[in-house]
Amino acid sequence: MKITKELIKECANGNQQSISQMYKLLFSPMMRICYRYASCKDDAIIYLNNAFIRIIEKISLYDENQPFEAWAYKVTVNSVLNDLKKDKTWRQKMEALEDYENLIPDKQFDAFQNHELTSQEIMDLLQKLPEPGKTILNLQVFEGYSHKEIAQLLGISEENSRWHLHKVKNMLKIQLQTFFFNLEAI
Amino acid sequence: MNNFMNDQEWEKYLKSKVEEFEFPYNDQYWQEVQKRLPQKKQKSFRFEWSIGILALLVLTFGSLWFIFNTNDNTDELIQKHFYHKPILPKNIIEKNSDFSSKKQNENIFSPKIQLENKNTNYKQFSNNFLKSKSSLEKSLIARKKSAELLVNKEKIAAICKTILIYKALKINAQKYIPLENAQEFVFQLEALNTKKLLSQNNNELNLLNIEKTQKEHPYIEKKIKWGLGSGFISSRFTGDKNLFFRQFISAHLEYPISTKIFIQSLPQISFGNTLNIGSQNSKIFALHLPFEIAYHQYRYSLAAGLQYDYFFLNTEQKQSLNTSRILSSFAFESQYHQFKLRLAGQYSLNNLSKWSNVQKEWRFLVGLYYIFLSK
Repeated sequence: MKITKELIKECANGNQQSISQMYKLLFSPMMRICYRYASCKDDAIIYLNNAFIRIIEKISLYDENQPFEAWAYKVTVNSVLNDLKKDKTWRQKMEALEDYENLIPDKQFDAFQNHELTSQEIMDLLQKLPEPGKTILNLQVFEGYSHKEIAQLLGISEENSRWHLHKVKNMLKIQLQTFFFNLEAI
Repeated sequence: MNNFMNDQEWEKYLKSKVEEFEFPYNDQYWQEVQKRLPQKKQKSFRFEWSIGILALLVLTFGSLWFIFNTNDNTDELIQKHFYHKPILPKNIIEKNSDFSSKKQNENIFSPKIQLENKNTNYKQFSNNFLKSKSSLEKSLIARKKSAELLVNKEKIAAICKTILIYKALKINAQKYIPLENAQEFVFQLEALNTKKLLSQNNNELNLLNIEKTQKEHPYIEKKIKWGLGSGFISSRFTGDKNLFFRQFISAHLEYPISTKIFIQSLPQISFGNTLNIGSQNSKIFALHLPFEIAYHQYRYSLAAGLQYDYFFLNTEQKQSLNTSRILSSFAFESQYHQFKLRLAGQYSLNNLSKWSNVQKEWRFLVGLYYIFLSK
């Protein structure tokens, strides 16, 4: 089932049934976004609910000429970022550079080709990444933001954003290698 | 694992895996959201609108209350103070204790006047009125109507010097100076002369007594406050000390009228010769001028009533008074207030553009506030 213009109108009019229907339709795609940014499942649900309420509140501002889903995902990302910014520890982490393990991934490690990762496994790995690299990775890889935009969004310098992204990518690779190493060991 | 470090493929792989991710839906999540959702929107009923509508309702009902619940005893007061008050000195009335019965058999009108008044309605009314034993206790409205019929007769008006001056000015003076200024000037002079004339002989009909009574009117204090408030607002917001505003303040200061009289004068406001309140854009005019008009309507009716009462006197009584002087005074009074009625209309038209340039809505609301304050 798709999100139709009628459904959007009904949601704008405050029809509870339509809003419920909209929630069900947007749940999975929104969860994909929220889960990546959150540190656990419960946080992801909180982010999702906050974002959905924001969508309903702002639905009258939606431009019908644009795809609704894209608009809704953008609102979701902004809402999640707002929620993250409210967290004091997250803001402190933005300044810290010590969270990344100073490791270099093993280029010779080839277990990746022999094992198919599940989406749940990937998501869990993403969740475990330290901030702010995780957020920057999400924004850059999945949302397609440039370093300039990320820097503006998070209030950091572009260089800082690049550095974090490089570090977090390395870390993710190492985590994957560890994951595969453990798999092979089993 | 040669391609393991290829960033593009690596990102593609991640994206595809994330896209596959499905999180099981649970109705519990929706219930949590449902509690926090905003209430159903009322498209056209916003907070600002509700406040505006509420204020409008308060103003409307307040105004209605002000109009209908104020001075309910006006008729009673008028009759007590003016119409039941003998217009002649007591000694003259006492000599004619059978005053009303005599009037039934006498021809109270001079033959000349009777000939001129060929209006059937007037005659019918007069005859019926005179035949009744309680004719002097007829209602205020009946007296006013009959008085108006009398005053409007050209021949009666013609005997008054002031009317002649007025007519002359209307024809000649307007070529050189603004008509209303000339008329105002002449009437001010005439008013001084009349007051002086009447004060010389207090045994005769004395219009100054009426003014004194008006000053003692229970509502005059409130009206003065109202006038001061309105005047203050005018000078505060316009800074324009032109004739209109002086007129505005002074007119309000002497208001002894009630809103009930104002309602009674509404037909004249709407259909008068020169007045058309409905055509005014400025609400403050619509607020002020009806009061001004009502006041002059009231004074006009009073003078006309006195004029009418004069005709109940017998010949002897009439001879004992200076007929022409008294008639002149009555006619002057009635004509003067008719003039003021027209003047109010003229002012409204002349100053319309000035008022429309200022924050009239705001002034209107503040004006209302002061009116309520004066209560």
